[in-house]
Amino acid sequence: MTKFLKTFYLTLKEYFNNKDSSEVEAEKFVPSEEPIIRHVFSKSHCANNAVKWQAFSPNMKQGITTSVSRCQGWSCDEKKQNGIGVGIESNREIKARAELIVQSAMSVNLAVEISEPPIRHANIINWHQDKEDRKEQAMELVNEVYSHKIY
Amino acid sequence: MSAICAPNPANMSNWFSYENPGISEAAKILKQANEHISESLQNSGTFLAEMLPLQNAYEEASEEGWDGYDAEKINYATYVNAQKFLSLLPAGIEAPEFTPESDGEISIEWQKSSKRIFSVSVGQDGRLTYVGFYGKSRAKGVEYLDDEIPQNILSNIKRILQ
Repeated sequence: MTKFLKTFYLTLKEYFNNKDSSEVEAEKFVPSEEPIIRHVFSKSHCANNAVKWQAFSPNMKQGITTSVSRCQGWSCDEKKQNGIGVGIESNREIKARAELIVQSAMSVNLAVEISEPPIRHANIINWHQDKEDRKEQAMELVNEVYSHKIY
Repeated sequence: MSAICAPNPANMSNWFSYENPGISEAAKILKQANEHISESLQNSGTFLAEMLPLQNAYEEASEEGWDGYDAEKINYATYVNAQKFLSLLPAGIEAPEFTPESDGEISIEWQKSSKRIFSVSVGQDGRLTYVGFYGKSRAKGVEYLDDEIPQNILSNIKRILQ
Protein backbone atom coordinates (compact mmCIF):
# COMPACT_ATOMS: atom_id res chain seq x y z
CA MET A 1 0.00 0.00 0.00
CA THR A 2 2.80 2.35 0.93
CA LYS A 3 4.62 1.52 -2.29
CA PHE A 4 1.43 2.23 -4.27
CA LEU A 5 0.92 5.61 -2.55
CA LYS A 6 4.53 6.55 -3.16
CA THR A 7 4.28 5.65 -6.85
CA PHE A 8 1.01 7.57 -7.12
CA TYR A 9 2.57 10.63 -5.46
CA LEU A 10 5.60 10.57 -7.72
CA THR A 11 3.40 10.20 -10.79
CA LEU A 12 1.34 13.23 -9.79
CA LYS A 13 4.46 15.23 -9.04
CA GLU A 14 5.92 14.44 -12.44
CA TYR A 15 2.62 15.30 -14.10
CA PHE A 16 2.42 18.76 -12.55
CA ASN A 17 6.08 19.47 -13.10
CA ASN A 18 5.69 18.66 -16.79
CA LYS A 19 2.62 20.91 -17.22
CA ASP A 20 3.63 24.16 -18.80
CA SER A 21 2.58 27.47 -17.34
CA SER A 22 0.03 28.16 -20.07
CA GLU A 23 -1.92 25.02 -19.20
CA VAL A 24 -1.97 25.94 -15.52
CA GLU A 25 -3.02 29.48 -16.41
CA ALA A 26 -5.85 28.21 -18.63
CA GLU A 27 -7.38 26.27 -15.74
CA LYS A 28 -7.96 29.54 -13.88
CA PHE A 29 -10.42 30.69 -16.53
CA VAL A 30 -13.90 29.47 -17.42
CA PRO A 31 -13.93 27.77 -20.85
CA SER A 32 -15.11 30.07 -23.62
CA GLU A 33 -18.10 27.96 -24.60
CA GLU A 34 -19.60 27.91 -21.12
CA PRO A 35 -22.68 29.97 -20.20
CA ILE A 36 -22.63 32.36 -17.24
CA ILE A 37 -25.33 34.32 -15.41
CA ARG A 38 -25.37 37.80 -13.95
CA HIS A 39 -28.07 38.02 -11.29
CA VAL A 40 -29.79 41.38 -10.82
CA PHE A 41 -31.16 42.68 -7.52
CA SER A 42 -32.03 46.26 -8.46
CA LYS A 43 -35.18 47.10 -10.38
CA SER A 44 -33.36 50.13 -11.79
CA HIS A 45 -31.16 47.71 -13.72
CA CYS A 46 -34.10 46.33 -15.70
CA ALA A 47 -36.18 48.05 -18.38
CA ASN A 48 -38.35 46.94 -21.29
CA ASN A 49 -38.05 43.27 -20.31
CA ALA A 50 -34.28 43.39 -20.46
CA VAL A 51 -31.32 43.78 -18.16
CA LYS A 52 -29.46 47.07 -18.61
CA TRP A 53 -25.73 47.50 -19.12
CA GLN A 54 -25.38 49.08 -15.67
CA ALA A 55 -26.02 45.63 -14.17
CA PHE A 56 -22.65 44.50 -15.56
CA SER A 57 -20.62 47.46 -14.29
CA PRO A 58 -17.78 46.13 -12.17
CA ASN A 59 -17.52 46.46 -8.43
CA MET A 60 -14.75 48.96 -7.74
CA LYS A 61 -14.15 47.87 -4.17
CA GLN A 62 -13.09 44.33 -4.97
CA GLY A 63 -10.53 44.64 -7.74
CA ILE A 64 -12.75 45.87 -10.60
CA THR A 65 -14.66 42.64 -11.09
CA THR A 66 -18.21 41.59 -11.95
CA SER A 67 -19.54 38.60 -10.06
CA VAL A 68 -21.23 35.86 -12.14
CA SER A 69 -22.31 32.23 -11.79
CA ARG A 70 -21.37 29.37 -14.09
CA CYS A 71 -24.63 27.72 -15.10
CA GLN A 72 -23.61 24.89 -17.43
CA GLY A 73 -26.31 22.19 -17.31
CA TRP A 74 -28.70 24.09 -15.01
CA SER A 75 -32.44 24.18 -15.51
CA CYS A 76 -34.35 27.48 -15.41
CA ASP A 77 -35.41 26.78 -11.87
CA GLU A 78 -31.87 25.99 -10.76
CA LYS A 79 -30.67 29.27 -12.27
CA LYS A 80 -33.35 31.17 -10.35
CA GLN A 81 -32.59 29.33 -7.11
CA ASN A 82 -28.91 30.20 -7.51
CA GLY A 83 -29.89 33.85 -7.82
CA ILE A 84 -32.12 33.65 -4.75
CA GLY A 85 -29.23 32.13 -2.84
CA VAL A 86 -26.87 34.91 -3.90
CA GLY A 87 -29.48 37.46 -2.84
CA ILE A 88 -29.90 35.93 0.61
CA GLU A 89 -26.28 36.76 1.43
CA SER A 90 -26.92 40.45 0.74
CA ASN A 91 -30.55 40.45 1.89
CA ARG A 92 -31.78 41.38 -1.60
CA GLU A 93 -34.64 40.05 -3.64
CA ILE A 94 -33.80 38.66 -7.07
CA LYS A 95 -35.23 40.83 -9.84
CA ALA A 96 -33.76 39.43 -13.04
CA ARG A 97 -30.91 37.53 -14.65
CA ALA A 98 -28.90 37.87 -17.84
CA GLU A 99 -27.22 34.92 -19.53
CA LEU A 100 -24.32 35.00 -21.93
CA ILE A 101 -21.45 32.87 -23.17
CA VAL A 102 -17.92 33.47 -21.89
CA GLN A 103 -16.79 33.98 -25.49
CA SER A 104 -19.05 37.04 -25.61
CA ALA A 105 -17.14 38.59 -22.72
CA MET A 106 -13.87 37.76 -24.46
CA SER A 107 -15.10 39.54 -27.60
CA VAL A 108 -15.06 42.83 -25.65
CA ASN A 109 -11.60 42.14 -24.21
CA LEU A 110 -12.83 40.76 -20.90
CA ALA A 111 -12.07 37.41 -19.26
CA VAL A 112 -13.99 35.21 -16.84
CA GLU A 113 -11.89 33.87 -14.00
CA ILE A 114 -12.95 31.05 -11.71
CA SER A 115 -13.33 32.36 -8.15
CA GLU A 116 -14.42 29.68 -5.73
CA PRO A 117 -15.79 29.35 -3.12
CA PRO A 118 -18.70 29.60 -3.42
CA ILE A 119 -18.98 26.75 -5.89
CA ARG A 120 -19.61 27.79 -9.52
CA HIS A 121 -18.68 31.39 -8.77
CA ALA A 122 -16.59 33.36 -11.25
CA ASN A 123 -15.62 36.97 -11.92
CA ILE A 124 -15.54 38.96 -15.13
CA ILE A 125 -12.14 40.66 -15.11
CA ASN A 126 -9.84 42.73 -17.35
CA TRP A 127 -12.04 45.81 -17.23
CA HIS A 128 -10.37 48.98 -18.47
CA GLN A 129 -8.91 51.37 -15.94
CA ASP A 130 -10.66 54.43 -17.44
CA LYS A 131 -14.37 54.84 -16.76
CA GLU A 132 -15.34 55.76 -20.31
CA ASP A 133 -13.68 52.60 -21.65
CA ARG A 134 -15.27 50.42 -18.93
CA LYS A 135 -18.62 51.91 -19.70
CA GLU A 136 -18.19 51.12 -23.39
CA GLN A 137 -17.26 47.53 -22.51
CA ALA A 138 -20.38 47.11 -20.35
CA MET A 139 -22.59 48.62 -23.05
CA GLU A 140 -21.15 46.23 -25.63
CA LEU A 141 -21.34 43.28 -23.24
CA VAL A 142 -25.06 43.68 -22.62
CA ASN A 143 -25.64 43.44 -26.36
CA GLU A 144 -24.09 39.96 -26.21
CA VAL A 145 -26.65 38.67 -23.68
CA TYR A 146 -28.69 35.91 -25.30
CA SER A 147 -31.31 35.57 -22.57
CA HIS A 148 -32.89 38.19 -20.33
CA LYS A 149 -35.22 36.93 -17.62
CA ILE A 150 -37.19 39.42 -15.57
CA TYR A 151 -38.96 37.93 -12.53
CA MET B 1 -58.68 63.41 30.11
CA SER B 2 -56.14 65.03 27.88
CA ALA B 3 -57.02 67.05 24.84
CA ILE B 4 -55.27 66.50 21.53
CA CYS B 5 -54.06 69.83 20.26
CA ALA B 6 -53.85 70.22 16.50
CA PRO B 7 -50.85 72.28 15.29
CA ASN B 8 -51.66 75.85 14.38
CA PRO B 9 -50.95 76.26 10.63
CA ALA B 10 -49.98 79.86 11.24
CA ASN B 11 -46.97 78.65 13.22
CA MET B 12 -45.89 75.88 10.83
CA SER B 13 -43.85 78.13 8.54
CA ASN B 14 -41.57 78.80 11.46
CA TRP B 15 -40.64 75.11 11.60
CA PHE B 16 -38.92 75.33 8.19
CA SER B 17 -37.14 78.61 8.82
CA TYR B 18 -35.34 77.28 11.89
CA GLU B 19 -31.59 77.48 11.39
CA ASN B 20 -29.93 74.30 12.55
CA PRO B 21 -26.44 75.29 13.76
CA GLY B 22 -25.31 71.69 13.06
CA ILE B 23 -25.41 72.07 9.24
CA SER B 24 -21.92 72.29 7.66
CA GLU B 25 -20.92 74.92 5.10
CA ALA B 26 -20.73 72.24 2.37
CA ALA B 27 -24.27 71.11 3.16
CA LYS B 28 -25.48 74.74 3.03
CA ILE B 29 -23.90 75.17 -0.40
CA LEU B 30 -25.57 72.02 -1.65
CA LYS B 31 -28.89 73.13 -0.21
CA GLN B 32 -28.63 76.49 -1.96
CA ALA B 33 -27.68 74.77 -5.24
CA ASN B 34 -30.68 72.49 -4.89
CA GLU B 35 -33.01 75.44 -4.29
CA HIS B 36 -31.56 77.25 -7.32
CA ILE B 37 -32.05 74.19 -9.46
CA SER B 38 -35.64 73.75 -8.32
CA GLU B 39 -36.35 77.40 -9.15
CA SER B 40 -34.68 77.04 -12.56
CA LEU B 41 -36.73 73.98 -13.34
CA GLN B 42 -39.95 75.77 -12.56
CA ASN B 43 -38.93 78.77 -14.63
CA SER B 44 -37.81 76.68 -17.62
CA GLY B 45 -41.09 74.82 -17.72
CA THR B 46 -39.52 71.42 -16.96
CA PHE B 47 -42.21 69.42 -15.30
CA LEU B 48 -41.77 67.96 -11.85
CA ALA B 49 -42.65 64.56 -13.34
CA GLU B 50 -39.24 64.50 -15.07
CA MET B 51 -37.54 64.80 -11.71
CA LEU B 52 -39.36 61.88 -10.14
CA PRO B 53 -37.49 59.10 -12.01
CA LEU B 54 -34.21 60.75 -10.98
CA GLN B 55 -35.37 60.93 -7.40
CA ASN B 56 -36.46 57.29 -7.51
CA ALA B 57 -33.04 56.21 -8.82
CA TYR B 58 -31.34 58.20 -6.07
CA GLU B 59 -33.52 56.78 -3.33
CA GLU B 60 -33.08 53.21 -4.52
CA ALA B 61 -29.29 53.59 -4.39
CA SER B 62 -29.07 55.58 -1.17
CA GLU B 63 -27.36 52.90 0.91
CA GLU B 64 -24.19 50.86 0.47
CA GLY B 65 -24.65 47.52 -1.25
CA TRP B 66 -27.94 48.56 -2.84
CA ASP B 67 -27.33 46.32 -5.89
CA GLY B 68 -26.64 43.18 -3.88
CA TYR B 69 -22.94 43.30 -4.83
CA ASP B 70 -21.51 45.91 -2.43
CA ALA B 71 -22.20 48.89 -4.72
CA GLU B 72 -21.31 52.37 -3.55
CA LYS B 73 -24.27 54.50 -2.61
CA ILE B 74 -25.19 57.61 -4.55
CA ASN B 75 -24.41 60.58 -2.38
CA TYR B 76 -26.28 63.85 -2.25
CA ALA B 77 -23.67 65.78 -4.24
CA THR B 78 -24.03 63.36 -7.15
CA TYR B 79 -27.81 63.70 -6.99
CA VAL B 80 -27.58 67.50 -7.04
CA ASN B 81 -25.23 67.38 -10.04
CA ALA B 82 -27.67 65.14 -11.88
CA GLN B 83 -30.48 67.59 -11.08
CA LYS B 84 -28.32 70.45 -12.33
CA PHE B 85 -27.58 68.59 -15.56
CA LEU B 86 -31.29 68.00 -16.08
CA SER B 87 -32.10 71.66 -15.39
CA LEU B 88 -29.54 72.81 -17.99
CA LEU B 89 -30.94 70.67 -20.82
CA PRO B 90 -32.49 72.73 -23.63
CA ALA B 91 -36.26 73.05 -23.49
CA GLY B 92 -38.15 70.44 -25.46
CA ILE B 93 -35.50 67.70 -25.14
CA GLU B 94 -36.98 64.22 -24.80
CA ALA B 95 -36.87 63.02 -21.19
CA PRO B 96 -33.89 60.73 -20.48
CA GLU B 97 -33.71 57.64 -18.30
CA PHE B 98 -31.87 57.66 -14.99
CA THR B 99 -30.01 54.64 -13.67
CA PRO B 100 -27.79 54.32 -10.60
CA GLU B 101 -24.36 52.79 -11.15
CA SER B 102 -22.39 50.55 -8.82
CA ASP B 103 -19.55 53.11 -8.51
CA GLY B 104 -21.94 55.67 -7.00
CA GLU B 105 -22.59 57.68 -10.17
CA ILE B 106 -25.88 58.21 -11.97
CA SER B 107 -26.26 57.58 -15.69
CA ILE B 108 -28.53 59.82 -17.68
CA GLU B 109 -29.26 58.32 -21.07
CA TRP B 110 -31.29 58.25 -24.22
CA GLN B 111 -31.69 54.92 -25.99
CA LYS B 112 -33.31 54.31 -29.36
CA SER B 113 -32.17 50.69 -29.84
CA SER B 114 -29.40 48.35 -28.72
CA LYS B 115 -27.11 49.97 -31.32
CA ARG B 116 -28.16 53.59 -30.70
CA ILE B 117 -27.68 54.87 -27.18
CA PHE B 118 -26.08 57.91 -25.57
CA SER B 119 -25.23 57.72 -21.89
CA VAL B 120 -23.69 60.27 -19.53
CA SER B 121 -22.48 59.24 -16.08
CA VAL B 122 -22.61 62.06 -13.54
CA GLY B 123 -20.18 62.02 -10.63
CA GLN B 124 -20.07 63.86 -7.31
CA ASP B 125 -17.36 66.24 -8.52
CA GLY B 126 -19.33 67.19 -11.64
CA ARG B 127 -17.40 64.80 -13.86
CA LEU B 128 -19.39 63.69 -16.91
CA THR B 129 -18.27 60.44 -18.53
CA TYR B 130 -20.10 59.88 -21.80
CA VAL B 131 -20.37 57.07 -24.32
CA GLY B 132 -22.44 57.08 -27.50
CA PHE B 133 -23.25 54.19 -29.84
CA TYR B 134 -24.49 55.22 -33.29
CA GLY B 135 -24.59 51.97 -35.20
CA LYS B 136 -20.93 51.17 -35.86
CA SER B 137 -19.79 54.66 -34.86
CA ARG B 138 -18.72 55.46 -31.33
CA ALA B 139 -18.18 58.57 -29.26
CA LYS B 140 -16.78 58.71 -25.74
CA GLY B 141 -14.97 61.06 -23.44
CA VAL B 142 -14.93 63.03 -20.22
CA GLU B 143 -16.18 66.56 -19.54
CA TYR B 144 -17.07 68.53 -16.44
CA LEU B 145 -20.36 70.16 -15.56
CA ASP B 146 -20.15 73.90 -15.20
CA ASP B 147 -22.79 76.59 -15.71
CA GLU B 148 -23.79 74.90 -18.93
CA ILE B 149 -23.67 71.45 -20.45
CA PRO B 150 -20.47 70.97 -22.48
CA GLN B 151 -20.92 71.29 -26.22
CA ASN B 152 -19.56 67.79 -26.88
CA ILE B 153 -22.35 66.32 -24.82
CA LEU B 154 -25.07 68.53 -26.27
CA SER B 155 -23.95 67.52 -29.78
CA ASN B 156 -24.24 63.86 -28.87
CA ILE B 157 -27.69 64.35 -27.35
CA LYS B 158 -28.86 66.00 -30.56
CA ARG B 159 -27.28 63.21 -32.59
CA ILE B 160 -29.06 60.43 -30.72
CA LEU B 161 -32.40 62.22 -30.85
CA GLN B 162 -32.35 63.09 -34.56
